[in-house]
Amino acid sequence: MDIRQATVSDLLGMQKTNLFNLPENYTFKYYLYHAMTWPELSYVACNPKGEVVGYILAKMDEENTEIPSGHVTSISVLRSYRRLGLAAKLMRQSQHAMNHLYKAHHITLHVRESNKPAISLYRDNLGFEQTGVEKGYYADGESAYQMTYKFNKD
Amino acid sequence: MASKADSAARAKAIKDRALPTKESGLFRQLLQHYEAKQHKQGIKAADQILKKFPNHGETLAIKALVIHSSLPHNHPTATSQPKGEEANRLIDTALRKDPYSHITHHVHSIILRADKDFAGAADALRKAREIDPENIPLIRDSISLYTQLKHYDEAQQARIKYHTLRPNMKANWVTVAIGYELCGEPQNALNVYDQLGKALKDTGYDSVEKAELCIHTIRLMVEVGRYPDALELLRKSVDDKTLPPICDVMTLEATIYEKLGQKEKAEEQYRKLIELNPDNLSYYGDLMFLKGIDFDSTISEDLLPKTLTIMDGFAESYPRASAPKRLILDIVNGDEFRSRVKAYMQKAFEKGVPSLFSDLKELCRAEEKQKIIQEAAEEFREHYEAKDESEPYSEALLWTYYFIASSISHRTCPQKDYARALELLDIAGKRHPTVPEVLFARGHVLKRAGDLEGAARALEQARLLDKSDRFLNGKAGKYWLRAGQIEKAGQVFGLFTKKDAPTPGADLKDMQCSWYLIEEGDAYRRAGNLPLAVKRYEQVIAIYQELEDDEYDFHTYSLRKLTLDAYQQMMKFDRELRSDRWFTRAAASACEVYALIHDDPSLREIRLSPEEEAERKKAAKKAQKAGSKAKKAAASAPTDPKKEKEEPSLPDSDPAGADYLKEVNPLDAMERLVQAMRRTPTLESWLVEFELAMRKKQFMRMRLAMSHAHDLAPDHPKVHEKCIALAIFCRSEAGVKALAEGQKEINEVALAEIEKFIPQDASALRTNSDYLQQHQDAGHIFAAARSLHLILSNQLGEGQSELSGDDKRQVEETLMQIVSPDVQPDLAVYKQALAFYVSPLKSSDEARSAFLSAVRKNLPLGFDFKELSEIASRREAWAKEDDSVATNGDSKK
Ligand SMILES: CC(C)(COP(=O)(O)OP(=O)(O)OC[C@H]1O[C@@H](n2cnc3c(N)ncnc32)[C@H](O)[C@@H]1OP(=O)(O)O)[C@@H](O)C(=O)NCCC(=O)NCCS
Repeated sequence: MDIRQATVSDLLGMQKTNLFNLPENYTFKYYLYHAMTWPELSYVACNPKGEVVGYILAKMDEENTEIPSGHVTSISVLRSYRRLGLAAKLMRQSQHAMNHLYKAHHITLHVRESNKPAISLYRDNLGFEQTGVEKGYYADGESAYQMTYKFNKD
Repeated sequence: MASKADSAARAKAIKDRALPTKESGLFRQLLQHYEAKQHKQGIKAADQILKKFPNHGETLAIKALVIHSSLPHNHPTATSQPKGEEANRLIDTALRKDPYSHITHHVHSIILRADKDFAGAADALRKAREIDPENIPLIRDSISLYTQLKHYDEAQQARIKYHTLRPNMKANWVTVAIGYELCGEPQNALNVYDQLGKALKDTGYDSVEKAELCIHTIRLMVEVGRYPDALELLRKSVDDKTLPPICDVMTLEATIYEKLGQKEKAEEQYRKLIELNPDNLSYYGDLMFLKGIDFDSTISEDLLPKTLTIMDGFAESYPRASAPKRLILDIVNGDEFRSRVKAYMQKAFEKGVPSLFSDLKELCRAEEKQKIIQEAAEEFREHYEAKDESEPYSEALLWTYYFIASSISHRTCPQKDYARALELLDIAGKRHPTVPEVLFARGHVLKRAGDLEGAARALEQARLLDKSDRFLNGKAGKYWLRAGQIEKAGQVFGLFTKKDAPTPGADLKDMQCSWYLIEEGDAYRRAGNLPLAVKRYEQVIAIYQELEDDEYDFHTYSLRKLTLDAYQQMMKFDRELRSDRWFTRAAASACEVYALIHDDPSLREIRLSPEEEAERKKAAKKAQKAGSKAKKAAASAPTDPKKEKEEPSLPDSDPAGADYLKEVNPLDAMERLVQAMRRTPTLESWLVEFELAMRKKQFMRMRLAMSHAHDLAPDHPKVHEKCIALAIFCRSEAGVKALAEGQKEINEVALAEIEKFIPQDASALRTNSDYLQQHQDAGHIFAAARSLHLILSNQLGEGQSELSGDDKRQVEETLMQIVSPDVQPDLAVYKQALAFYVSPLKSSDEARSAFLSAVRKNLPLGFDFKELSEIASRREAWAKEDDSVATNGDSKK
């Protein structure tokens, strides 16, 4: 699978993949907003036919701007392409740009309490830590773990 | 020149516009309230002025604006709808009372723009600017509007005007530069960026903005071929840390070195890029290209060893990257391919990688590789079967079965064997009953074997094994749609859609899920429900309009953020938007239905069976209930201002699409879609245009469309069919008349061109039979049969409405070739051909049965083609099976 920076032409593929994988969905304009604000932070994984099979949609935190921090809005991989290391690779590429272009100190994201694969990906594979719980974060009432990755910075 | 009466009216309007001190203070307040979004106070102030001066145009206009801007976007609700109408009335009055004020026109423009009528908004703004040409907000607004409408030259005039009026604003420089780019004048754009770059220090841009601007400038320099300048700027900016080491910068650097012929330096950059992201395919291709090795063509024997050494080196340095290993499989052949693909497959089987087949499927296009992969898979199977007892190999065997089942049922396999695929999956399923992939694959095989209902059932079972996975849910829903069970599909989708949406489908529509809308539209169409089919297709078309409208805000936003590369990407996206696969599918399908109802207006209404009628009534009642619920909620909402936001949108007044289809002018609707598709012409768009032109009897347009289609794909079944139709038309009475009406030269060109499709001395019949002889697959044969039918029908004498028995037999004989054993089965063509026997061919039952029994012989698993009784008894058996599973499950609890 090919891993590359997402362009505006990939956004529809990302939106489609998101709708297939997760109950948290966004309209196109929100994707476009990401692409037009932080074009370096989103990545896609494509199959040999060139179709998007995985993506990371990421941004910088817009509220607390004193300490720049990255945030993963959404990440997912189509079921038939999971366990190939795609999610981890997508995350690392995004991390690199967060670090070097945006000088992020850390990255945050939310994950469902029950989402074992994702938690294992973030914690065991990528070195995130659980830094909080947000009760009833999701529309169906499930709580979210907040997870944080710290860049090695003084 | 303005008439006397006009200038008198103008003078009066200007006089009437002046307000006494008190009211002009109120007017200022009104504007402040609008800016601060204090809608209530705004309206109060306006009303106070209007009490004394009911005809004051500008007050009326701003009041309209205040009301309009308080409304929810895009979703009219029970309370907002009348308010929207009031705002429209107010602005109309305002324009009548004071057409000489730039404010009334400007407000009109803002309201139209908020309603996404960009062309109307631009017109209104043009009027405002005629009155006040130097007004900065007017100029600013017009830049975005013209850009949105792709009137780049007009936009550029406005940008330059703006710049002249405010020469010191750096933001305007960027605006002018981007404008040049959009007008195709990159040199002029660069001049501006160069100046801006020199002034970077005192621009107040932050580090990210500086980097974005710098990257874009360099990219533009590369585009126009100013490589040394590009390199200089890049090196300088890397050194002073304006540019960080991110992939955009490194790829630019590599490209520049390459263009300058500095191959080593370019290579160094690509190696750095690969180190950063060893899974990017293009880096490898670009690096090898430097060395004279082109991955896109066959690599010669003498270059192969070198290629392999380099790629193997990468594979070794980045063991976790799959790209170098996978790329090698594209370029090697024979024994080298065999040993490498085997290693690749073994690793995947033993790790348990379900995507292995999708990964290798492209390779199977080459017959030799297909065979090797097939053989290798069988060897692994034997190997693991021999070891089956121990755990790790049992997993490997599972994925080997899964792989073989996928590959022997796939399109690329010359000898498809659905039965064996199912057998392997059965064994795998018995040993691994909790792995959804096995059932998932089973569903795929059944679908290809012509059993959509069985496929849907398999996917449903897969879904039940992991209910928390939306992917399995979505695929199961899609298969239920394919099997025609629209309601069941809705229930399944509903498990993951928003609970407060009126229906699961409404949520998916709001989330712009095009594939779902098209699948459901297709399902309705197969069920004969054309109104709902068209409704779904048109919803997709509306989504693409939304996507285009979404771009509007970014014409200013990106320039502020200086994300100029991204902005250019967006403009490219826009140019290609209407050739997107899902748009094309929706538009072409909708046009097919419009053509149908144009040809046979009785199809505008659904013909329902009694059960369907009962179903429809039930659905209508449900929709009505939802509607009155929304209205009730609306009635109780406005008291609480916080709740106002959550007011439900008004229910769709035509949920079944029946009113629309009854009233629509099909040719106008087709024209609208053809115009949209034409923005990026494709084979599909030309074919649709031909169908439209034929119905509008626009001969020249038919010819042109076919000429383009013929250039793109001369052998395509639809192209053949339509060329025949065109030839028949030209030689028909109507055609001869149309030709005679055109100018002589045009006729000659036209005739010469048509000869490209059908030589003059050959009759349509000859051309068609030649075509049949040259093509041996189902789609082409069917096209020949349909064309034959067309030709013969055209030869019918007056008063004859049906083909003679002999003629019919000719067509039927051609149709029978579709099912001959040496032609690959094609489910879609089978289904269309079966329908064709009934209409328009009106064959005897016997003739159709002969075709059907051949289909059944070709597709022994094809339940889609079985007798209804057989299908029903299978459903019964399933119901029993499900019952017993349910009771077993209960007793276990
Ligand atoms: C979570 C998800 C994105 C992971 O994608 P992926 O490409 O399969 O993940 P990777 O292959 O990169 O996995 C990397 C590591 O994460 C962990 N991991 C991933 N999936 C796992 C699973 N199902 N169980 C346990 N660990 C898992 C493993 O440590 C894995 O490394 P390994 O394969 O070497 O053991 C994917 O499962 C998915 O799209 N799920 C649905 C959407 C979703 O939940 N997104 C996250 C929302 S916060």
